[in-house]
Amino acid sequence: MSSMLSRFFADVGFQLTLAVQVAARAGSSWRRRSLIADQLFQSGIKVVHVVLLVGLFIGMIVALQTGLELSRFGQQDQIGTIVALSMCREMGPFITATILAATVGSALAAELGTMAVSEELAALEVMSIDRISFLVLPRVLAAAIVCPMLTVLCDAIGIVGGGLIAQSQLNVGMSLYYDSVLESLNDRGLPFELPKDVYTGLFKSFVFGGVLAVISCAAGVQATSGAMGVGNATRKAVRDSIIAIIVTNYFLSWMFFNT
Amino acid sequence: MSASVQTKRDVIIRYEDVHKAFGPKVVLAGFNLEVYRGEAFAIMGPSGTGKSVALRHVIGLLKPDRGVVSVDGRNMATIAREELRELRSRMGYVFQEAALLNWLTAGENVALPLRETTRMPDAEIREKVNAKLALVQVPDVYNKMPNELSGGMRKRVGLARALVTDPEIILYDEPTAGLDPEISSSINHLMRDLAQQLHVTSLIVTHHIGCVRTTADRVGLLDGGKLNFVSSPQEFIGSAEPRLVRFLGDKLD
Ligand SMILES: Nc1ncnc2c1ncn2[C@@H]1O[C@H](COP(=O)(O)OP(=O)(O)OP(=O)(O)O)[C@@H](O)[C@H]1O
Ligand SMILES: [Mg+2]
Repeated sequence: MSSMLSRFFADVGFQLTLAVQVAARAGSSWRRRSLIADQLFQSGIKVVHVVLLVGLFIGMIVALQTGLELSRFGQQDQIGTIVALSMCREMGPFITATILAATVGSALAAELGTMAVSEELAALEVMSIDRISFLVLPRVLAAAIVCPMLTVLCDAIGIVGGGLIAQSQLNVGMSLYYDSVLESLNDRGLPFELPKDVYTGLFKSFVFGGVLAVISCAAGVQATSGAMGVGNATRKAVRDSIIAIIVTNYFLSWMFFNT
Repeated sequence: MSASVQTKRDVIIRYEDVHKAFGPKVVLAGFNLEVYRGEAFAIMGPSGTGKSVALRHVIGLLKPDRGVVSVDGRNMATIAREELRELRSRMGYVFQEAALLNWLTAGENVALPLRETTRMPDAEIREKVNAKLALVQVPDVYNKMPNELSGGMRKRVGLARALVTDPEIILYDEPTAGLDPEISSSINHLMRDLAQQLHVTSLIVTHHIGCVRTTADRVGLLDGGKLNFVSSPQEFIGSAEPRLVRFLGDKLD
């Protein structure tokens, strides 16, 4: 029990240290732009279809679950508002980050884990190449950029999915649905053009992307040799990323909406 | 060579009573060695006795549990970061499995230390990389990815990468393992030329007696965590010591 606890603290300590080290090297982002662009492509394009598919169904599920309840009270006209808010605030960022943890996170851990096991990380070290700036920074930044971009897609397709259900199952017309979506996402007099529900969601996504990439890279670089090393690192990356996304999600939501 | 002459020579790599264990597994136990500036020293030994582990200490990838490994008079376990960087820039390390980054071409792998740690212009880097690739006899691989190359070719690209910064000290981990005899022999001669013409200090881990014969000034056997039978290649090979005879038995023919 105490050894599990000390492992946990050691892991979290390593992840936090890595996060700080990445942040300290943010200044070299421009120099690393081509590596970042590679990673944007690697981590973005390859999961677009997954995000679209899952987002569509999540929107449909939300519409169905809440819509049937609402219609019992004759309130089904509200469905556009509910789908839009729940997608933008919560579902879009969370679902997208979870998909990225399972796909990009596991790939990062496997890639860096393989590099650790095959002495490529040692080779970079003896060449005095800063591995954090060279390997970790581009991956973390790319994930932090890609995650909100994919979240926008997820939000949008989720709202479309909700609309399909509204029309087919709840007898809410398309124009009524989209009017209520737009109205609920309208500017509420904040300093930005974007409504708070959207930009807090995107900010959360940005944080989730960074968190999952830092945790996955940490798991990768700590991979031990042997047949199980990389596999364990990958599993740990996905597990820890998802836990961290959920915990971070709570605190960010609390920060933004606790008024 | 008499003892008095040896003591006058300049020691560049020194292991003093080095102990290293991984958990319960004791790998080095009282490892001692002094490598002189400009010398080529070969470490032989059965598989799994800790030759790679011993080599990694020299460049600071591992720290001893006890004892000291020093390079150019500086303790590699306690050296300051900046000094370590400076010292490493004067060393090259040839990894046993090449350790190339698989998402860069062979040429970019070799160029990496120059790109990352110098301000050398692109054209000059390319020229230098091509020269080193030619030196290790893989001239046409600049644009090939590592997974398109054979193990032996990757190994030579790894060697080119270690040479590209023109190091004073080169650490070779089985530089000729897995290469055919002809290529092995030319790599051996390359290593000897580097030592003789450029006065590079070499520490070579190898299984090949041919490599020892061609390149080494002295050789020792790592066994039981210690370096034994340190001598010239001729004495080493001709020794009647039962342990050496047993170890060398299948390698001499
Ligand atoms: N990082 C490590 N963690 C745990 N054990 C290790 C580590 N590195 C090496 N060992 C163990 O130390 C021993 C010596 O390993 P080393 O790689 O130095 O052998 P070697 O003499 O180079 O063998 P080979 O000729 O096969 O390359 C082995 O038993 C290995 O399992
Ligand atoms: Mg070895």
